[in-house]
Amino acid sequence: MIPIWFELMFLMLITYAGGLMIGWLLWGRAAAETMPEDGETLS
Amino acid sequence: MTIRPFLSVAVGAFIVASLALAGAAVTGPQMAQRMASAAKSAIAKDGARGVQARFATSGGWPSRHPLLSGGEKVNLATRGKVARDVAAIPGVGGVRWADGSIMAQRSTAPVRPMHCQGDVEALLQARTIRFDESSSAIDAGSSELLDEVAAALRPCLGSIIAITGHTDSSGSKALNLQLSDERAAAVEDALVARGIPRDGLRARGLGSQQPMTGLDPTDPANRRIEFSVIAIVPLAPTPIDTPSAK
Repeated sequence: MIPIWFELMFLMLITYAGGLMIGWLLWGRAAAETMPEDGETLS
Repeated sequence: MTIRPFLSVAVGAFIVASLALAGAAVTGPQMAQRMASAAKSAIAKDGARGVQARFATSGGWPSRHPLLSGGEKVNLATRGKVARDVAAIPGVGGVRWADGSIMAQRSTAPVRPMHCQGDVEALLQARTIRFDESSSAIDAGSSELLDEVAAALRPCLGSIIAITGHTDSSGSKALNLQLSDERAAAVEDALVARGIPRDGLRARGLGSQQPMTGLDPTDPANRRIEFSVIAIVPLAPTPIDTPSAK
């Protein structure tokens, strides 16, 4: 028997983790593109 | 101030969990109540007197997975119908009966795929799996035959298939036993390499103990590999979420 609070918490935490992962992927890519190469500085 | 990433993730998770708990505290009891009244009318409609659906865990928390109890005098068909109708209520998860007998009963005997043994025997009647002399290395020419044997055994997956190696009586008894053992194991390995799961195969060697009927024990034709389906492992239905279960 699974209580409703557990199911809801599980679903929301999974969604949170998924959101984090997508955010990390998108932000990580965007950040990598603007990252200066070795010896280069951002103007 | 810099917050370390894992700390912000943990705080975020805590906030999400708190939101979920608060949300469940607000909506959970109402949800369970709604499903309980729908279940009550479904039970009344099915005419199952005395059956009760409890939408709460043993700790008293509201749950979407009802426990049906009572109605011992209600016949099996009605109990199945009640479980199905309760399971059909929107939002309801798995339905279980409190008396614990939750396995679905089979109405027909399970299919017994014994015919594959006959298929393998038919294959091996005309041809044999050959080995190099005094060795357990399978002759390269037997590869095609092993492919066919593996294909014939595939319908029996889930069964226990015995692979028995035999030799003729020439040579020492102990060596023959060891050789037949190794040859049966070699065939097992060859079948595993062809996609037959190892846990369903049992290889063993009998040496020259069981010559073929009507053949002299020294006859080289006694060198053979036999296959037999020794047990059928029935597939059990999943015990949870079977609405037609008792």
